[in-house]
Amino acid sequence: MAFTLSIGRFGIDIGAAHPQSVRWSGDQVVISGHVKDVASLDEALALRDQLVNQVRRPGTDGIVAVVSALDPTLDGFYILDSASVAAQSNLASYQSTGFLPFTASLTKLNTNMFESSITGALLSNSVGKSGTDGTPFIAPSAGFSTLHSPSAGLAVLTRAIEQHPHALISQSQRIVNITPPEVPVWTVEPLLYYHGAATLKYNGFVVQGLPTFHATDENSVDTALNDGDWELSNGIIRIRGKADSVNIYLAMWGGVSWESEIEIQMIEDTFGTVSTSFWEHLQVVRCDPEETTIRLIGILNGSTGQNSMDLSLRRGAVHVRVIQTSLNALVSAVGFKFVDANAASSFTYGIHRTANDSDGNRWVVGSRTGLTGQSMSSNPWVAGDSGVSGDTLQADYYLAIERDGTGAGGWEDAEAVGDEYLHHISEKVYPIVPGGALL
Amino acid sequence: MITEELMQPGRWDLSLSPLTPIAIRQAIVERGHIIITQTAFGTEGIVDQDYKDASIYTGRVDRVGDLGIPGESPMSIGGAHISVWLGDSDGRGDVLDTTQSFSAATWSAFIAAIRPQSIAAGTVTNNPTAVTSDFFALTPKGCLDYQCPISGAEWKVTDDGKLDSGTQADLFVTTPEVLAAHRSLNQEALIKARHSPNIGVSIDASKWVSKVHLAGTVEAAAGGEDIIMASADLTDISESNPYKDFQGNADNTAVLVNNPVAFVSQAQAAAEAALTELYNIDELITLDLSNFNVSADFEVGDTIYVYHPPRIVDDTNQLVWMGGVAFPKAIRVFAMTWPVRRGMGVYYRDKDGNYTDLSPYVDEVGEATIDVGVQRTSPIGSARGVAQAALNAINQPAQVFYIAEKAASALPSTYPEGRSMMAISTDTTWPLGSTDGLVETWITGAGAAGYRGRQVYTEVNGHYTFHRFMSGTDTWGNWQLLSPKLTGSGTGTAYNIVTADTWETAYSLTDSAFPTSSFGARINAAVSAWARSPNAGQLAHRIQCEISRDGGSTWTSGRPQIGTQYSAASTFVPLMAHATSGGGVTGTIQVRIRVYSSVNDTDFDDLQITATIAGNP
Repeated sequence: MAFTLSIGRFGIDIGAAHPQSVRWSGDQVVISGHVKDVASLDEALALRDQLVNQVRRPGTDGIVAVVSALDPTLDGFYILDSASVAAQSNLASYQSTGFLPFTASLTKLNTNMFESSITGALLSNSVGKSGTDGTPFIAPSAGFSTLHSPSAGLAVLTRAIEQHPHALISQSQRIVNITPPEVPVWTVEPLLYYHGAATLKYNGFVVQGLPTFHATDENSVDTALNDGDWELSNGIIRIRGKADSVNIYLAMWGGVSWESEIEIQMIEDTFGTVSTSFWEHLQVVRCDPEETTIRLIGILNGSTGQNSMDLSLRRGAVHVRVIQTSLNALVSAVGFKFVDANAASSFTYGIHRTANDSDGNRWVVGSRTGLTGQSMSSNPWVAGDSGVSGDTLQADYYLAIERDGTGAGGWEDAEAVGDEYLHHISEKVYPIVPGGALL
Repeated sequence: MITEELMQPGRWDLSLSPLTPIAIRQAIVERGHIIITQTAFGTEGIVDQDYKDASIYTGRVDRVGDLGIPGESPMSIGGAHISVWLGDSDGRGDVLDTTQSFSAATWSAFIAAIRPQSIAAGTVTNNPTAVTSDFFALTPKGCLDYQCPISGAEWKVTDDGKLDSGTQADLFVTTPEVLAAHRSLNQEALIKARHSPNIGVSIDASKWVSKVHLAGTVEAAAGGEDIIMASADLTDISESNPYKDFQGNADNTAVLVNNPVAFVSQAQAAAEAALTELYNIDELITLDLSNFNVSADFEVGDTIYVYHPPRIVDDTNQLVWMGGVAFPKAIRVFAMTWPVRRGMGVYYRDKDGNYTDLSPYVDEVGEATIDVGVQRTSPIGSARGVAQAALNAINQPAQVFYIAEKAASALPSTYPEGRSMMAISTDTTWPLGSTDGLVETWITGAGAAGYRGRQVYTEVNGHYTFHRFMSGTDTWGNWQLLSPKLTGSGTGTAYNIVTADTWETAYSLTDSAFPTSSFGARINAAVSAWARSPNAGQLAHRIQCEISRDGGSTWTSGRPQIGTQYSAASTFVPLMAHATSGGGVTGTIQVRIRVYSSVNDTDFDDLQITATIAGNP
């Protein structure tokens, strides 16, 4: 893979964008080139979507890091004001490997400095947590160089991350005990900006912007999303879908490979009955390096009620936050069931595997609202509803892998991870631009 | 655009297309009504009640502009919400012309007594606290403005013209059902989440106060009543002071406001109600409502959630939202402005109930926005805590001046004469002859006891001012043209407020010397009176005045004012009432005054009444 140019997450995983012309005018830069010589038409079309979906618009701020092998002086942070990709049938745009001319117009920000605006609090809960029990954290880009925060009691926690395609950095740091209204300031170079980012892949390609995906058959009827269609990862923890079901796989990066992958089923009643429906739609709710959220939507078999599952992953997080929602009168509970013959044991927030798995870790599920039902023997399951209104059920969970299982360190055990989940932090990163904000 | 405001008449303006036919232009007559519906449904087969039921906004047509050439120029119409029939911000309305007294009255009884015929009865609960007070010379809205904060009540006029009242929870959504946030998906299971592309916040703390002095009445130790401020500070309303001045002291900012109803026992409650509102700063949040279904999602008065970190955040509200948690503020919608877009129904209703379809000629563009923040309904608050607007609403700038001087230092033991906005002559007095505690008198014209006194014409800044003074030879009996109406003893310590008395229009003054040529638009008249006692001790009196310019068929009232005599010096009580002319003044102005005394009038031997009538062209 010849790395040539990346604009934001365009070209970050498929390196085949060829810049042909760059035009500077003050802080305005226009880059034109071709997407070509990629392995498949799918790759070319994924590149197209990565580029145009990043353009600044309501709901996205359009900040991109630009890295160029051709001209490193181009490297920096920009706002992607506009981007166009022109597909023409006579230029073989839709032939085997695609050929797509593109133009991107950018405004240079002249900064490597960012501030993290954070909002949040210890969430109301029925697990007896209060006051400072929660552990708020932020995690700048992996490889950030400085961070300033006047908060006291900060602790820096390091986890190995799956390396970036152009990787230099193999670990991510989260800084705990930063509390709103603190506004930590940090710096990072463009090449490292997306390292450790919360990243969604669809069909194996990095997704940018807020697209929606669904699968259809030859008659354009919605069908289930397929195995591996989607994958949400921050390099530390990874969730991906299982074909033709609502089931998901959860895994943790062990430093060399993904470890402890466990299949998790969705349940739909208070006896732990496994849901047989499947996800038809994937809506990207948020797609920022600091946090990516997706909503999986499906219709329960034989009914009109909608099921959905929101999965939210922050940069640096060691857990994934899950909101399960059912609008279906036939569903009496929502929760998870683990495809694992081993027993589980309970802790403050929920349950985790009793013994370590073959990788020496343990899966974890917990909730702030307590659990209405659970089974601890083979194929353990939990259910709980935090919001109930009419036929609507909603439950709020976190899923994680407890690193080193029974020997997990103080910041890594199931309850400590729960404390990070419980002190909910919503983070939004803004560039600090000299001479006034362009945003 | 339509601007709806909570418990205020608001404003609406529409521009009709230049292509609006002349016949339709001519159909629109001022003081008719406009009805806006969610969709246009024509007029065929639609009856009056159908329009009323479908209305999402009903307004009175007050302004009609059709200045250009038909076919080339638009036509503009505008006015206020139908609730303006309860009274406008200038005190116009169906003013109570008899005193309405309430003693532990239920809220529905209170509403029934003050509701004008122009607004139909709606749904009224008895959840607000009972009413014990007297109301006189106030518009229905004036009564509501005063009593609602005290009783914990609110009101709204529905778009089919009915007055609903009760507590906030009786009338409005108090547990938010809508969440407005930037970057929101418009789909959440447990809340109506709405994406607002723009959310703006602006704060105006210039009207913030930490203390309210309210002119009320209290019983004096030795009998009678004193003018005194009922004062409320932050400890009274269990709030802390978040601000400091430049020197590092607690921010001590007070405002002086009027109590339009002189009812002793409620003064402190009214002061605290006023402070509760004025303590809050004005916060204006602008939302872009393009993703909202305005009439279905919420209405003015409802509480909604707004989440816009880091500025608009409340950690105590935690809503599952977009796969995470939102921490929105629960915010009351105080006002909402929205455009009448193409496709909505716009109907003009004339005075006979005939409808004209204007829908094809209205097509407004623009964003719908809401103003949220602090509710202002107290007697001093007609609009969003703007104290000055509030003061205007009760029409007594002279009294404000007076109270302000008094509040500038500790309560003085004596009042200097002539403490007034107006020049007053003090050389004309006449003794009281009545032994009753209540005396009532009129300044009369020649048709009654004969006009006496002298006239002074003064031109000040183009405005005519002339004073009339009573003759020193008049006796009280000559002026006492009505029988005393005291219902109780005159020697009590409180005012004897007569509940069933009425003004006698037969004795009003007709001033033939009133200038006729210089009054184009408006006449204001101010009446002042003062009383003097040679005896030390407490003497209090209450004075009311009314004024009219149209032969006595319509009287505009000033509110009763309190004067207190502390020593042998005289006391002056300024009053002001306004009579407004639509033009074409013919030179008749009438003023009438009555005086209540709280003590035996042997201590009350001089009374002078001066009328100052000023026209403002």
